[in-house]
Amino acid sequence: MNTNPSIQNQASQARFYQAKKVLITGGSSGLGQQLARQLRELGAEVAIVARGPAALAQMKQANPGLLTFQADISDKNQIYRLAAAVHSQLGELDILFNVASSLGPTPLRLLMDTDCEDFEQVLQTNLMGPFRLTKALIPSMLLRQQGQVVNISSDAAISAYPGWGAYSVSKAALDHLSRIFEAELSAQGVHFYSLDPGDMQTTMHFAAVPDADPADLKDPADSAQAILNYVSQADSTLPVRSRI
Amino acid sequence: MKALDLKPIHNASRRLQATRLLVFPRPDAIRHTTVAHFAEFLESGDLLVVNQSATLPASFQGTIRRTGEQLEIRLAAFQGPDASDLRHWYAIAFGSGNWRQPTEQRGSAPSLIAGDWIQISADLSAEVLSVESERILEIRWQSSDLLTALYQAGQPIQYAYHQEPLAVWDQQTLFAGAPISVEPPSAAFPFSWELMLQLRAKGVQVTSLLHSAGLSSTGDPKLDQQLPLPEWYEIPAATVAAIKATQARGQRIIALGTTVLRALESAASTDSLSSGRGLAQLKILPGYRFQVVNALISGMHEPDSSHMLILDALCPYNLIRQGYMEASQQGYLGHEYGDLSFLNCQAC
Repeated sequence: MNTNPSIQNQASQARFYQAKKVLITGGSSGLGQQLARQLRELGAEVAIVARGPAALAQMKQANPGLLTFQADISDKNQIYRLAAAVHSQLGELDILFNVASSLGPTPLRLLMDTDCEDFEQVLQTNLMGPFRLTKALIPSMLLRQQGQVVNISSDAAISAYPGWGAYSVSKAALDHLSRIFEAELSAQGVHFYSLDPGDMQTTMHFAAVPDADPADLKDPADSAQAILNYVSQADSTLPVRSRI
Repeated sequence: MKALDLKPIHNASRRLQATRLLVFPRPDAIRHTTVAHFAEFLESGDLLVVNQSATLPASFQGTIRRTGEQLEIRLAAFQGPDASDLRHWYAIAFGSGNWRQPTEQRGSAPSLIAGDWIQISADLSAEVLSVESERILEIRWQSSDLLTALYQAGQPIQYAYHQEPLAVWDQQTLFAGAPISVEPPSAAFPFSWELMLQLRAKGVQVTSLLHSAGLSSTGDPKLDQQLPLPEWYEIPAATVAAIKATQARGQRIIALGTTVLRALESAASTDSLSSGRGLAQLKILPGYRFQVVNALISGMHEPDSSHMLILDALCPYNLIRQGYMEASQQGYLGHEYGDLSFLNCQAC
């Protein structure tokens, strides 16, 4: 009998994710890319969404069999095409990971210097995108009474860091969106999480904090692993919001 | 009999409280209520079957490569083989024009032959595989990215009675999944998740299938007689299991919409009900003996439509006429975005 906890962990994760149909927004870079790679290794059927065709093509080439969809989740007009494509090409979804996220213009600015249009755009990407996509993709989960939606949050959802206004507000709202969905739908077997992966070595973090010391930042591969471990516990008593 | 005066409406935000429900709870009774009270008519252990298909923007303007003539084609019914391959359809050709021009007032559709190609956009064309009854075409799409091309070039099929054109999201029901319908499976429009959770809390079971809701009318009475064309469906094994368990308990199978009824009855028409894919070819006429479905939720239909024949097969003719007359007097709204009826006259 193998007593190594990490190997045991991997085996139970593989059991959980095997043949699961998973969609990841923001799946061509950073945390989304790591989630896609690890989920495929665990036997899941993975599709990713991203805006840039070049990064999608690169991911497809590196991961044969990966489904890729080009779409901007902040654009209401693209959601129905995306949802239709997911249902047609991937089928009924088991897990939705809302990872795509926007800081708004960088360098980050004080709220008083933030244009209303930029604030709105951040909400479209970080809040309305996940809301619309959830609405469009979870009906089949509700009918089958099983499924999970994982929203990626941030410590900025809790702490009020000067300069992080639009992003912080969007993530605080995303946390609450997850809690309310969970309160309304957990009895139907569909569960919602809002997980804070911590500060990672990603393009986005360096855009926000150009002088960040990489040594202080997490490897997104480790964060992805921690997220997958959390979700695979499939324990409905776990808190909706958690720092990973 | 007084002519029906069912006023059409287009307001996708209409919800439970506002949607009237004409109920035939028995073969000799009529009730008038709203969809918010629908759960009162169901019992714990009944099974509601819903159609999970989404609706494509299904009207396309194009040019016949051989002749250079312009035309509109409307997808009429998906032909399979499955929801991941959306190339094969029946379509209907119309003279070129926009949705505000009634189709009967447009010029005639250009003549097509098998082997023609219809160019829709740079990355979307349709090969005409066969031509049936002049304007009914069997087509196969060609594109490097078909779904994207269909959504970019297609327009939702519109209804001349609407003030404003419908957008893609106006056409989706709360269950929308794979995009294989060309008109919405509209009986689900007034339903909400609040109502679905209420039904579940009462012990009503819910299951689903996929059925390509086809074109309902063309403006040409001769052509309309040939509708509905064969429509592709897929019934999951879990749905068949739920139906058989419900039947074994002696409880009701309720179809949410005629598309669900047509898929289930077609699948059961040759053999006992089994899971899988097929083409619904069955035309249900008064006197039809239902194999699976005991009750139906449907819209308020025009007196001469094929939908009315299904209603007449489910409940006594005079009861339906009486109910419709009362509904008309009470100002019920007809058509795809209107009020609903619940026909529960069949024994289990």
